[in-house]
Amino acid sequence: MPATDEYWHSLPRLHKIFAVSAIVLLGTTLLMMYKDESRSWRVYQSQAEELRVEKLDRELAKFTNEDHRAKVLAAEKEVQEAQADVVGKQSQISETERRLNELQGLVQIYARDAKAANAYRDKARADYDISVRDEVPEEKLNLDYQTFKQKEEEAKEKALQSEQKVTEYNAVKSELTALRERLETANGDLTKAQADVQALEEQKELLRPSNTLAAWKRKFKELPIINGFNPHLKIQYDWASELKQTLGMAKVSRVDRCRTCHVNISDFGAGNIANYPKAEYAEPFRSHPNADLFLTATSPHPVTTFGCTICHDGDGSGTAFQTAEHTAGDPAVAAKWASEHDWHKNHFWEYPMFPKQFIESSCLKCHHNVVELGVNDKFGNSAPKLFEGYSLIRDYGCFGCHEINGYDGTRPIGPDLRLEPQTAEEIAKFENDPNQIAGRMRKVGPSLRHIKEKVAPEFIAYWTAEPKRFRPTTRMPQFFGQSNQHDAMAAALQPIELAAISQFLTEKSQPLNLDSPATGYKPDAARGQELFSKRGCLACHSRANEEFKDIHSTFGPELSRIHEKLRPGEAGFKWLYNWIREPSRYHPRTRMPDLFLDPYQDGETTIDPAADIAAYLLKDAGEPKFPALAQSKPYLGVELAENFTEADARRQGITKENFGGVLVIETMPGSPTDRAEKKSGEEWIATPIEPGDAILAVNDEAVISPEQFQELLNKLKSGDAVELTVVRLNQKQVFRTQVSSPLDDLVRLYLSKSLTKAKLEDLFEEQRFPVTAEMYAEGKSPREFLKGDEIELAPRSLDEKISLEEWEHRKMIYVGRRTISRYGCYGCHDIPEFETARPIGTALQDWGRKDTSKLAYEHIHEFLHHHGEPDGSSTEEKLARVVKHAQAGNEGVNQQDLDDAYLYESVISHGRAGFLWQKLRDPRSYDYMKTETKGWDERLRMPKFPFNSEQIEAISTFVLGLVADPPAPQFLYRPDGVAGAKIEGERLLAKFNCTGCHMVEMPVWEFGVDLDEIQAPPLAESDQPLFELFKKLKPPMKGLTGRKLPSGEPIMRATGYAQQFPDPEDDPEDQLYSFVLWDAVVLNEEQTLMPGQPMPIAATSIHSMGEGRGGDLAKWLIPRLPGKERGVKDINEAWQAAPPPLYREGAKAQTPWLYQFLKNPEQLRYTTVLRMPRFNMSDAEAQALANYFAAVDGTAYPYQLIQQHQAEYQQAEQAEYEKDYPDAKEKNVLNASWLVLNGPLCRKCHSVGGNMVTETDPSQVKRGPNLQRVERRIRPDYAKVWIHNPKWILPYTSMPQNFPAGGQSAMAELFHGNNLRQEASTVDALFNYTRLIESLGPTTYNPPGTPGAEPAAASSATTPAPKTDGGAK
Amino acid sequence: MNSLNPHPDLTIGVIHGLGWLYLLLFFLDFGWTIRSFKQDGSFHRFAGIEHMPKAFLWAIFSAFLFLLAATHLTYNSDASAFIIRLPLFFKDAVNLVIANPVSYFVLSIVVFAAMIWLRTWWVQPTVAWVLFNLSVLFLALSMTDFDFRQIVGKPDNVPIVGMLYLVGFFTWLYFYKANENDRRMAQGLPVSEKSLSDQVLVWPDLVYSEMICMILVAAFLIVWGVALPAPLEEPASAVKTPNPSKAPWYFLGLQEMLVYFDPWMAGVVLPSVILVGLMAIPYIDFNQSGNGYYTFNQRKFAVITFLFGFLPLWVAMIVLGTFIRGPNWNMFGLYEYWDVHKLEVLNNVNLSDYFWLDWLKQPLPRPLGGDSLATQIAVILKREWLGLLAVAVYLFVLPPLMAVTIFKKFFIRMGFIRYMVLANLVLFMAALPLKMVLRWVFTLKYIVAIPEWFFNI
Repeated sequence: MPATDEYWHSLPRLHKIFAVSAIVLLGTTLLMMYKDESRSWRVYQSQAEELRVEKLDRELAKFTNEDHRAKVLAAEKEVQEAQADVVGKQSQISETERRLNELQGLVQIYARDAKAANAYRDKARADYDISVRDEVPEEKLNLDYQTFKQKEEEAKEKALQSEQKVTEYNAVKSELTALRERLETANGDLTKAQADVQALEEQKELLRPSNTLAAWKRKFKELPIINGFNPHLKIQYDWASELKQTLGMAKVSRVDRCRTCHVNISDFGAGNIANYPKAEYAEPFRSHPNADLFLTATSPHPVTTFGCTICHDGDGSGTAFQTAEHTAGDPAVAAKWASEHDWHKNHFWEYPMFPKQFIESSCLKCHHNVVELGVNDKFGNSAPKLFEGYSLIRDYGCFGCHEINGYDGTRPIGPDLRLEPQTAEEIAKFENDPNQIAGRMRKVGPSLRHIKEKVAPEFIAYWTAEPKRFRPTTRMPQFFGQSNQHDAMAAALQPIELAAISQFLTEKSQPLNLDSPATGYKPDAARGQELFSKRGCLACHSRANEEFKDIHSTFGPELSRIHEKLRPGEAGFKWLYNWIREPSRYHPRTRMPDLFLDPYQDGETTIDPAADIAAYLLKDAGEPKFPALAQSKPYLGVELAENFTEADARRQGITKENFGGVLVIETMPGSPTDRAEKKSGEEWIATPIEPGDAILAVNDEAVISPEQFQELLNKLKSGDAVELTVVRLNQKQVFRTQVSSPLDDLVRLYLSKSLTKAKLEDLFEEQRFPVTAEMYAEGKSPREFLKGDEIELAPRSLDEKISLEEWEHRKMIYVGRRTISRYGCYGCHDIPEFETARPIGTALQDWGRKDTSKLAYEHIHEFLHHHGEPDGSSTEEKLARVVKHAQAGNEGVNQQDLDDAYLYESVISHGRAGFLWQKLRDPRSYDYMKTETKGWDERLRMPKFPFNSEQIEAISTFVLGLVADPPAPQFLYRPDGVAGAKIEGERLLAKFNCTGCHMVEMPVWEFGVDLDEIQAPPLAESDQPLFELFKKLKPPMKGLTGRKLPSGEPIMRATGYAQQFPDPEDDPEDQLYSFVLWDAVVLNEEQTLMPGQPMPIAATSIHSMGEGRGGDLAKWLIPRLPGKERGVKDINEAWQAAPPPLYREGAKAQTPWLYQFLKNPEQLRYTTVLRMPRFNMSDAEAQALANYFAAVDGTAYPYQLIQQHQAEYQQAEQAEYEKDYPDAKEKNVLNASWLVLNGPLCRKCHSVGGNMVTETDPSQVKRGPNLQRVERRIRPDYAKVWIHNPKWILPYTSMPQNFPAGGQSAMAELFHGNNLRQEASTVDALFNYTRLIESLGPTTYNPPGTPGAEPAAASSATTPAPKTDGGAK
Repeated sequence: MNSLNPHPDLTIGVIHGLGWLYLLLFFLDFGWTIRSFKQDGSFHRFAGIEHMPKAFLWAIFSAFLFLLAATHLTYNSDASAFIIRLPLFFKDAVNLVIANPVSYFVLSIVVFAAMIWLRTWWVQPTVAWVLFNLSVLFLALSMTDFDFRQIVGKPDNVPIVGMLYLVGFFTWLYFYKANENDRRMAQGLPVSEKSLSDQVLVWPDLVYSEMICMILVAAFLIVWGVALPAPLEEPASAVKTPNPSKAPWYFLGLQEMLVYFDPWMAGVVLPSVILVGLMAIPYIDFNQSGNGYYTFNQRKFAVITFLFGFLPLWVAMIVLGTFIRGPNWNMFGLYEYWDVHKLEVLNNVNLSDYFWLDWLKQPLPRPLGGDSLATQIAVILKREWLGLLAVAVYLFVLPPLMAVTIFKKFFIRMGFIRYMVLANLVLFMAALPLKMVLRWVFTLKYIVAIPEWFFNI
């Protein structure tokens, strides 16, 4: 169509609209660009740049002070002077320069010539080689060879000349340098003085160029669009590509852009010092608070490999506050974020960032052993909360019900906390299946297999109902009387269940042979108390006695009320006697060790320590006072009002003429009321009795009170029909039902799952579970057919007839068995017939990612809204107040409360952390308002543990970390070798409570010292070689911390113990500790304080007194022994009597010996008051522990080569001996050594070479360990240092320095009386002990001139076992 | 104030947002007041005032809106104490009506009928403007409810709200223009479109305005994109599907049919019939009038049929699917919390069950595993004969019956084939409401249920 001038729309108007719309589009485009340009990370990066400039300015400002300026001025002046100096020597310098120039030319010429000569020589050699190949005539060959020789000579000559010229040149050059030296040095000093400033200025120049053009260029590059090309504000990527993450359904590489906003997070100075410390900078400008562990290249988790989100979670690709999926740690913070960053919680992101309180959870992804996070020589306790959670789960045995399987087949997926196989079949199954790894946790509760021998049934029921009632410190949780068990049904059924459990356990208890003390033995309770305190019981147990109030061991149960608990009289005593003497008899898997409490002779009297201790523990025993087991009485399943008043009746609409009887206020489902029928004309219609009904009469007998109602029922028996006159809606009605009992209804409830109603009635009628003849056929047993608990109700034989009592009893046993199955008691206890039962709880290995739609939150919001606190008040209200205070910025808001508020919010918005929190606070609260519609057996079963808020958070941290989503294997921390041995060892230290007795780390004290007053006695020349060895065994500590006390004294750091304590009555200024150093302490290059050095420390100078690690019993025992124990006069001797510290044990003991010792400890020391007990330890565990000590001390394991055994070593020794002592009487060096060993020194205290020591007066002679086991037990280097100076190793030891350098040797004719040689020879002899005693036999060496030495020692060889006061130790 | 309430009905942010909405509405009504002042004239006598301009009422309303906006925008204390919010009884009443499929569908039919019936009244600009104002006030007040806000305010669902206003506007536009033409034709005047020439003005009228539209749409989309970024939703998972799992909004009508029909019917047959039917309209349509101009009176059947299919059966189903179908595909009131634990009784029964079990008290005939194909067919036919018969009657007997009764004129003018196509299309469309009614009244599941062959009607 041709264009016309006719338009529908007015063109000018269209133009206007077009213009406006074009402007609108431009505007929206600009809006879009503005949004893009104003992204928060750009802002943060700009701000960070400002901060960096400020910081540089501040640091530069430090250099503007007088000091620095003076330093620079001085340097400049020196430069000027040096220059003047140079000018003064100008002629000399010019001349030298000329010479140098000339020489340089010559050097170059000669070098060129030498190179040419080399080329000629090489060609001549090649020509010669070719001639050889071509087999030219001899003459020609000779000629070629001559040519080569000649060329080679020439080349050598030229090289020599060149070298000479270079030497000449260098000489002149150094002449010149010497002339100019001052100037050069001055220049260097000046540069150095200015270097720091320059470096800072260079950095600043980059950010704020001083050049206008450069500054402009930098600004220009920040402009929109331009900033797309090589920008300096840009997104920062960390490609942790090996650490995949699952997004949707695909595993993809991880890319983190967190450092885009957290600009300074990895900015650290030398020594991992944060450049932007938390104290001075706000987020997102801070440096990471833990550079030793994270981000830096020297840390185990460098940011370039690990990124951020592998630990923190969140969305690493997000570059805005919201899209990074931050998580607020409490609602107050959340509200702040919401207003400042428009933040909201995004529940669609699968990996929200961990809030601060649970950040340690993510460690579990890679650290499946957990132990290394809690105990680590390099990083200390790096994840305290997680480790605490792990320890709680380990100690409280959560895994008994909730399997925590660390393996998917053999692939590790997380921490493994599974019960060990329980039966021989199971063990065999695991052993034969290469695709399965067995669990290794022991059930945490005591075995109930022989419980009849231990406690009475009444106690079992009393204890189970509420364990804390009997023992407040128990770890056993409470199953009964919980918040979902406060209704009439629970009131009726719980006592029956408790009685049934008790009867079941007693009935199934297997007999056990128990020993008694020797007939006629009179146990002595007073002596028992003494033995109880000394023989190691207190390492694990505590007891509320005045004497033991300072020791709080929690590894084993608290023993205060044990006398009430055990069976009364002889039976209880016998059990306890056997348990103390041989724990594994009662419970083969117990962790209680065998303490070697065997009877021993003390003079004429025989002492049976186990009997004495048992007598002591039971000395208060009287008749037990536990209530009798509940009886199942006839009942109708109604809860009646205490008082039925007229007012109640009116409220029910009952008029005066109908008022009477008792009022039903609650009825139980599944009880006779539920099965009641109402008479309607001639018919009976099923109509349950309901709350609000008033019962007037039972079988036409009037009812007047609830008690009388029960009496009426008691006349009937379960199964009897009963007619009730009931007032309902103010009308009298007749109901009928059958009387039942709680027991019968429980049986009915459980069996109704498998039996029809008719069969169930038959069962009660016939008093037996319906069985068939086939089950009792030849070779068959009902157990093969009845796999469930109903086996208890099956008759013992096909035609068995049982009494009513027996039937009641069988029903009880059945209900007991059902109850145990239902509550999973066997998760913690070994219970007969439950050996193969599976854990009842939800498996937890993937709980941290569990789909929250699979968690039953039920009415928890309503519960917490109305109740939730222990006193029944509203949790919501309480926490809302807390949050309000926090938001208002009020003081005194408890962080734990805020954490709780976070968790509250989590639970009501269906988060996992909150679910756990409430589950552990009140496990049954999820049944709030649910019990009404649930069956009795469907009610929640999780018991309540006595955890406080911190513990709940710790456990949650652990459980939330269980994600069964391990990263690539190279990231899993599963070390073998030394690190692995340490982890395994630490696990076992905890398992067997080694630290209950032994110290494994010595206490570190920090105190102020006056350095001028410290006198470190110089080390003798002769000490030097052994000092070097000593340093390897016990590396000295650095003494000065660099910090100072307020008084100005420098703070020194040292390990050690107090030898004397001040009198607390004294003035604080006068209080003085006598501190004995344990490790060598290096003060400075000249001064090293050696172990054993006492240091008086004023109480006022003490900065901190460390506790060390472990040794609770030792620490408790040591101050109590001096003066009380025979032969123990002071603290040092008390240390010898207490369990020894296991400090540097790995450097001391040979691993194979330690292994054997752990398996079966022999008596080593005669000074101790107790003996190392025998633990219930597997071979693997003993090996692992032995390896652990070696690994900790960095020594070789598991095998050690003993140099002294080797022929080469002995031959070399012999040769040296012959050289040094050609005139010696004894020609063989080992034989001479043997004499030294059996000389008057060693045998004084040690049994050696056939000489036995008896301890007549321990204050005079301390009997040392027998020396014959040294060659198996001790490492030679250790032995050398030990013999050289025992105090270096154990400052408290009584062993003297027997071979002091420069001292007078008692054995002058051996090794010419050279003490050092004798000392070394002792070691040789000790490590060849077996061979020497075999070849030379028992020996006593008395040096000539010491008349009649050691008659006592010689005669003691024939005396029997030594008499000691402590008995068999 | 309880700072720990995760589902607050009101927050300061919401109150301020509503303030802006009221302010916007104020400006619109302010403009309307001016328009009214110019065009609406005055009351002869109103509340004792002579010749009061009608715009005065609009002025009062505008002032009210301004105050409302100011109240909202300046409110800064405890949000939970703010009183301007939807009353609980209103919420409960709406929930009751909306969450029940019967009342919801009946309501949509009633509204539809009223729209047709009252077409000359409600399209008057003032009435329409009042309706618009009411709808905005309803929306704004409803926003004071947490659950309503959750669903309607979801960035995904915002376009649906926009679509509703678009549908409303275009429906109004159609009726406005059609009424005008119908009035003109009744008066013997030419339709308004006829006053234009027959020319098609392509350049610059069409092309230029298209370009302007393009620019404005681009600008609109940019602003939208900036203001409402796409939300992150649940992660895809093969083991866990979202609950509710919803089709894209434009398929929600089809998804709604799945509630009443077997998937192959609702997912294959009916959509195909809809598409084919829409394509067939030009060939079925014998009505020459109404070409090129708006009219209602000349095309009553066509318009009502189309609008019935479009508004209650498609748009209303989209609204239902978007805002009302919640977890487990249960229906939730507009102000009801989408609780995944809410359950509905869905004990639906097949016609054959009624016939065999309830009426004849006999077991349902079922083909046995070893039966031959013929036997199987025979057994199934025996079981389902009633349903098959009913379907046959519906599809094959009804058209001729209608041809001689209500569609007599149509049949005469359209001829056999065109009539049969039309009749079947109408019957297929009617199948949905019919099946709904059967479901609600008889809890009927399938009329013909042959699970053996995955064939159910």
